[in-house]
Amino acid sequence: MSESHGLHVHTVTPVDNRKIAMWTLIGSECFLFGCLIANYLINKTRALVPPFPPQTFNVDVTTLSTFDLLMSSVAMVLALHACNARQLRKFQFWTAIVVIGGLIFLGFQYYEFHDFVVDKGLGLTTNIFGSSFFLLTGCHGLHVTVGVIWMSSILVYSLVKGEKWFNSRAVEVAGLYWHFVDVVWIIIFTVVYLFVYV
Amino acid sequence: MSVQSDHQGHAHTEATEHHGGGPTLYWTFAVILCLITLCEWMTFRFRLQLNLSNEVLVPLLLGLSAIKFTMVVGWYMHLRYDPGWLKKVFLAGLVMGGGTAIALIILIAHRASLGAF
Repeated sequence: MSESHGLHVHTVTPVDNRKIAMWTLIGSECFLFGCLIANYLINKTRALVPPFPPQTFNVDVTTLSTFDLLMSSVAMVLALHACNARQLRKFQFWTAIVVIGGLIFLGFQYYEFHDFVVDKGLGLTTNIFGSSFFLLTGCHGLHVTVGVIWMSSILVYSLVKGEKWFNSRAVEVAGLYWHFVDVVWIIIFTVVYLFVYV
Repeated sequence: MSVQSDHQGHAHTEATEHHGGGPTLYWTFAVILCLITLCEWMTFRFRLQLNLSNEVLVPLLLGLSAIKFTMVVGWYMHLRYDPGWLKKVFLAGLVMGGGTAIALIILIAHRASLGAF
């Protein structure tokens, strides 16, 4: 895509190329997470030494973190709506909520990992269940971290620039990424945590 | 990210924001998403009392998860309002990722049944 002086985006499609790029990235990320989930499902019952999944997971805590991520997704779509309506304060408020929601989720993940490693003795190299679990959830956590940094930068930028900064496309593309991170967690929550006895 | 205001976004691109729903719809969906998550948790927590076998539990939880997935992708990500070919870009990745995952699971299960592992 070429952008001449920031006034027009020249594209052969009726869709902004940044959006196409994000959907293509999301499509390829589906492939990545599909393989990581398959890896986990194959290996979760192959551990030779404890701890095993039923002794490890705390589904109640994970349900709370799922609620948190879902609510941050709502905040994200409300931030985009406020951006489109050019309501700066509302946009900044909902973007801050997205960032806080992401940080809370990472806090839950830190608590969970700490509980597994310190209290339950499940490390990255303890058994193949631990390796595949930490690989999958760690990769997702890394994606959440990138999303938090991205949304924080948008928030800071809008705080610095004020009314001069309204970039719906930038917010929409960041929102696509954030919602995708939420969608991946919806699947992980079911196949990793809720299928622990399956 | 561009520092320009959003002139470029309006000139040559479709504007999903004009028909992508409003706060009322988003909050309604948020409540539904929370209720589904609550249903998932209750199904998991009371599966023994409800006498749910794996044959019932797995499709039930996968179905609830699929509803949440569709709601977020379709409405929050506005894919429902996007052009058909853009949906195909996403679906191609989803089908390839899901297909690879299912193929791997079947392949490993088959090898395990033959005693290869």
